[in-house]
Amino acid sequence: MKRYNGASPLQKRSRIPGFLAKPSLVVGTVIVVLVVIMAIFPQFIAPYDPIETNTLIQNAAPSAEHIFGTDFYGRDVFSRVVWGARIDLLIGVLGTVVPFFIGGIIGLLAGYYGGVLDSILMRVTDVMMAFPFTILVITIMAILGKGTMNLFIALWLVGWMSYAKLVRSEVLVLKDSEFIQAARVAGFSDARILFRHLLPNVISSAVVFAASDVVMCMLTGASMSFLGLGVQPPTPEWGSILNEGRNFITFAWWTTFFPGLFLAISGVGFSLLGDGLTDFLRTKGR
Amino acid sequence: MSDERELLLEVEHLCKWFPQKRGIIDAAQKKEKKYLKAVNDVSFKIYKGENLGLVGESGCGKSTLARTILRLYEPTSGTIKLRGTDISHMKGEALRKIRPQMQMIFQDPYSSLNPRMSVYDTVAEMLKVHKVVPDNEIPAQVEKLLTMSGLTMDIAQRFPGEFSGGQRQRIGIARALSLNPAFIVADEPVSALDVSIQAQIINLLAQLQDELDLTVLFISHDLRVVRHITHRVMVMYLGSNVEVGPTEEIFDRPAHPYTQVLTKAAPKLDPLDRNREYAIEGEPPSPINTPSGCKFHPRCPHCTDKCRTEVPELLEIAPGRLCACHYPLI
Amino acid sequence: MSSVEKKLLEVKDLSVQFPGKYETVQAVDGVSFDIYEGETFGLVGESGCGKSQTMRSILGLLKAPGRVSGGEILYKGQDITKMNQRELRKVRGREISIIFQEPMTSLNPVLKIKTQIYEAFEGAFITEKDKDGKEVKRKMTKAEKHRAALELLKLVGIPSPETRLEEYPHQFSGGMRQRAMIAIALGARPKLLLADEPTTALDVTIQDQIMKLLNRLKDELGMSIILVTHDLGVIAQMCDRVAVMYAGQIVEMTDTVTLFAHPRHPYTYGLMGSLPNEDTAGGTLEAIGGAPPNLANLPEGCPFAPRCKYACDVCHEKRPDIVEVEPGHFARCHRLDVTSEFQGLISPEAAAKAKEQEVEPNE
Repeated sequence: MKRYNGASPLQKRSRIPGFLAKPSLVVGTVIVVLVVIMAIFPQFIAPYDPIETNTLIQNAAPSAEHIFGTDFYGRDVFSRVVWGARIDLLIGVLGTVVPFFIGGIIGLLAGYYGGVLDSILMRVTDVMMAFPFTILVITIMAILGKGTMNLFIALWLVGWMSYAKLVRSEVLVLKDSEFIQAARVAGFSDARILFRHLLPNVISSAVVFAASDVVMCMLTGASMSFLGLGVQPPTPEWGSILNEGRNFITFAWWTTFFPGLFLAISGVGFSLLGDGLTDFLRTKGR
Repeated sequence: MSDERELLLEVEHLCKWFPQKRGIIDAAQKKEKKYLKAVNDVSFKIYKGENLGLVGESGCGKSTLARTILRLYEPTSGTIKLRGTDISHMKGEALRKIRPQMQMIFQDPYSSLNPRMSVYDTVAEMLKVHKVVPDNEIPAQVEKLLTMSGLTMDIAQRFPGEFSGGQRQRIGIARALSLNPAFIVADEPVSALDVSIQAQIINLLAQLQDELDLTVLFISHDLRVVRHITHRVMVMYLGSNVEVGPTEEIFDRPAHPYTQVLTKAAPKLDPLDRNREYAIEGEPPSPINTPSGCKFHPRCPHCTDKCRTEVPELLEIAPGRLCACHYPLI
Repeated sequence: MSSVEKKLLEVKDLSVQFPGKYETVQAVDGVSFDIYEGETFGLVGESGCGKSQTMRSILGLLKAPGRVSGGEILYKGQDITKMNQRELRKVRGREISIIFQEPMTSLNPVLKIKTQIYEAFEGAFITEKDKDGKEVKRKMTKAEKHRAALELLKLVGIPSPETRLEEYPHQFSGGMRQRAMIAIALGARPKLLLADEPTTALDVTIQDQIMKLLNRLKDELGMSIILVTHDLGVIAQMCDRVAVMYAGQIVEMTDTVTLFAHPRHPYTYGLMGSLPNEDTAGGTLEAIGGAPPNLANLPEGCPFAPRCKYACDVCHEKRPDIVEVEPGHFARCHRLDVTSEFQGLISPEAAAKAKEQEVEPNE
């Protein structure tokens, strides 16, 4: 039937130009990809062993051999920064992904079923959100003790709430919409309604939040290590490298400047990616 | 005339009350809990193959009634019997098993389709979950359903956002028909559409009803459409049905004063006939604090003391015609 | 139309564009009509036909990125499209007012009805003579505003206006809100009222009340109304003249009685056939097939041709011009020979008789 070909103004367009049309998305993606490459293949990028000490070249200024200089133990700062990307990215990603799933599912269930589960969730999140994120993490670390694994646990315990709240509020908006009613009338199981019909429509804002949450987790992880609570030396991690270089900042600025710079750049990268993703998902949605 | 036909749906004294939130002070004073009586003591029957119109102003409870029958809401009291089976308090698996027999066409073609599912998936999912046809016959069945609804298979991979309102409504119809339901609720299926598209959808619904011998509860506030497509009409006012009867008779000789007002209030398509006398003053009162006696009495031109105190019962005033009024007009 | 009637507003060849990233949408394309004093003029058509955009451009209220891309709108001889914001403000609310479809969202929820009506009087001045007998204009005092507001609420039929003035919009029902909206629009006694689907969101019984109210107010205040609607029933009950719009253009324009007796455009005829009435019960409606075209990608010829039963080759190739088929009756169609056979919703005899009666008192 020819007459149904009347094209609507919202015709689908090719995805690539839309993607490239958002500079923040492009720049963010490039930075993130570079950081990821660094994290996956540090052995091909870093010229030296990051934990091998050399007392002959303590706190050497940047030169052709050591482009970022060396630290108090004579370790190559560039190599340490490159290797540090791995652990920092791991903190950022794992600190986000696990809460994303846990929080997402809790939010989905609480929003859809309401009742006691919802009330408990809301009270718990209200209380916990009254404290700043970092303070909470520090408190939990203080209870659990220092170490990388405990850092993860602290991040997970605190992180899921934002996702639960986000997803819950979206579910509340959509659960009475007509297409969900239609799915109920169709006699679909709750699992199908939740995961096949609700989830794809409520998850986009959580995805966008996750992109910026990676930065938050990386920074928190770095801060904890800086405070000596998280990743323990000599493992290279940007926060702990900063901490180690702190004492020499007046005459060996490179030991703190470069890890700080990398931390800042990758933070900006993930933020840009998050912003770009917001626009991208918004234009694609209804 | 009605008794020979198969009784499909029987609703008796159905109520759906929504509790209103009480303030702490009210609760402390032990004030009575207030209810929004969206549906209050409604009884009616639908026979196989008929199209029953449900009309009334917004807030009169027509949508709540439909959703309660479809068990999207739990009824407060009363019974709903589908082919003799009481479904009013069914739960879980049993309810899911019975659902395919009752489907719904929604008002808003923009929110009634999952924006992230293609047309094909939307229809095929129904067939798959309920195993209407073997898996290998699903594509053919989807094509048949889309064709039946006036669509073609080449749009099947597209998403709802790419369609106009009329096309989406056709997709909604294809979805509702996919489970071969015994009973369909059409909740204002054309009121969100433009006039020219409205006519296409009305024709489609009428044609499908004939071909498939569907039983339809057709909800609409547009009396022109109801008069065109339905066999019988039920009029609701403030949660209760005030009149039921064959469409032509109701429009020609309304028995309830409210029906009379309603049938005459729609703007007439005649510029030479502008001063119609059947005006009504005031607006429907809130369904939380309903008037005493006959709920229509504050707006009724024929109101007496009896109307203010005594609630009229829904009685048969002529063969096949029920009316809840102390002084029916016929 | 007799020559006694004065033109209040002239819309000449108005075009409105919505430039977009990928395509420019021609929402209104060369629309021309006149509004005479004291008449109700209807703009009828389906969603996206440009009726609302036409009306919004009269008040300079086009939503971004929409803009008037051609033509002029003369109000009492002055071109509104060329006015700056200050000049526009003098016209808005004082000379021309507007009421919208959604009475829920067009009132400010945090201000009392009283405050919102008082604001409407900001544009109204009281003319009185000073000591020397010279005419001076002054703003209204609070007491005068209060009295005028009470009068307005009574005028639009809101019961117990004293208490109602002190209430907030959420305490009003839908119909009452629309009445309040009308009262605010009438605050400065405008000469022209623009009504954008004023009864669409209301129930039939309330719609009936509001239509009667608008008809009465028009006569009492001697204003003109431009009524935008998709409902031919509302047109029949309220309008003196009608323009039918399709895909941004006026396809037919005439007085209401003639339109209902002798539609000359296949689209108008199709719309009438699409409406169920007493005689169609149980039968099939004469639906128009297909859907309205995409305004960013209109067909070569007549925009209605793809849906038109009477379309021939020329319709698909060339856009028709609007022609005066009878005095005061305009239609935009290549197949006027065929459309002269159309039978409208009312009988031609009744229409002819009504016209005779209407003309007599003038002579």
